[in-house]
Amino acid sequence: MDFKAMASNLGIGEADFLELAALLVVTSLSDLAALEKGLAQGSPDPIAHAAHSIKGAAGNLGFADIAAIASEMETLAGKGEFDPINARANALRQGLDAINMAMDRR
Amino acid sequence: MEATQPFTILAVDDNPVNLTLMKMILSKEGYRVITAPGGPRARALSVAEKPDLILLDIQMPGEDGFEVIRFLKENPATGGIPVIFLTSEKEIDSKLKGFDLGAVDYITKPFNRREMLARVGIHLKLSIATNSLIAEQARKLRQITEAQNAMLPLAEEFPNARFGVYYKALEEAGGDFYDILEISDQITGYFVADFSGHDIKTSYMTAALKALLAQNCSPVYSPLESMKMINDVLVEILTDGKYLTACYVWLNRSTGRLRIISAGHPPVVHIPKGKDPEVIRVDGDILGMFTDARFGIHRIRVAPGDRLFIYSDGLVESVKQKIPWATGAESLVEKFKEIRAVPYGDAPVALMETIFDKGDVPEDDVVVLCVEV
Repeated sequence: MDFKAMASNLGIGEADFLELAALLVVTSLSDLAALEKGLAQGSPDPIAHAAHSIKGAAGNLGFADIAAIASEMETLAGKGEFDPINARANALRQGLDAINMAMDRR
Repeated sequence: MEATQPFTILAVDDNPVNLTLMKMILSKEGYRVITAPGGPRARALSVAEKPDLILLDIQMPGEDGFEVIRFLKENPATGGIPVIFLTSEKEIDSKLKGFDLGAVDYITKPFNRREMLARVGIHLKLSIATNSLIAEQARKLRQITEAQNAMLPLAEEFPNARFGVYYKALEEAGGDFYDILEISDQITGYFVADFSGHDIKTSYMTAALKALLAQNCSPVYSPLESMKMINDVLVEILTDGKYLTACYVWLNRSTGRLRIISAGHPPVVHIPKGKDPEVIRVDGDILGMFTDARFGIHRIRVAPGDRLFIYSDGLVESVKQKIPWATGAESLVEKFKEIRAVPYGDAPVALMETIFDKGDVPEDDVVVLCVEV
């Protein structure tokens, strides 16, 4: 993960970008918890909202992979197809972990 | 050079990452950025801070962006603030609905920094241009008010006319008018009129009317003749069903002869010195509508110390209380008695204070003229 290049894409400094990335991880984990609660209850709205929130924030920072997974989850929730969402939630969690690890290495 | 006040931008988004990112991008360009994580806070901040522009996320839990913009546009204090929606690529319907509700533009997520700055910049520029246009129009309207007020004679300028006046226009271009005519050393004319409408056209008409009075109220014409000649010209120049009610009081102080000519105007109140007020009703057609108009005339003898009140319907009429001036004047007789001891120069203001409690604003333009013989 080239944080420096990602920061430059946004026209901000690297330190600012790292602050945003850390915020993304915390916020998205919280969204993910809400999403999983929605899955347990079988209610599509909180799932779609949480996925939408992650998609927007990750996309804005340039984490395209995470944004793409979240986008799929949002679409699936809209169709009421809950089963495939579980697997994607795990993939998303791994993506967030990867950001955390990359930040730790710095 | 003095540093100019930075533009304030309110960013509204339920995701703190987006809020922080917008704040970073915009702050770097010198904008003051305030943030709200949801609808209720966004509404409160919009009212309290009056930001120059609002970036508003559509999809938020609870109160969404549509509800926020509806509130903003319905509130006069925030209705003029440009709102740019934040939306994802796919939400075509949302974009259209946003424009429908009064948004000026949208920015799709993921944000592109340069696009965001460009859109914010262009809408701030447009907003400045619109605001300065409005300020310029307001300035021009104030000029009309000033010009119109300059046409109204002041009591100090006509000491021999012995009158006091109260004049209040509710809007920039008032519909009420009065003039004092020094016809000869001994003869003074007092003219009060009320135009239908209060628009800009009306204010030009008051200038025309003033010129007509100066031309036609001379010693060679009787007051009735003057009124008829003025009517004939007004019929030609007034359009769109416009007309006016007017009262022309002609007073010869050396002979004590007084003439009241009425063109559909509320009655004059005559207060003979030391006696009770009497309401003088004179029927007559309105001015500026019919070429063969007939105006009522009333002739009385007056003595020094007698007073006359000439006024517009705003003094006696009430739309709220459904009082037309025909009956309104009678109810005022007691009020005229109350201000008997007030010098004539202050009597109109005193009368207004007697009729209208403090803060109880008249519903229409008002002119009140008090003349002492």
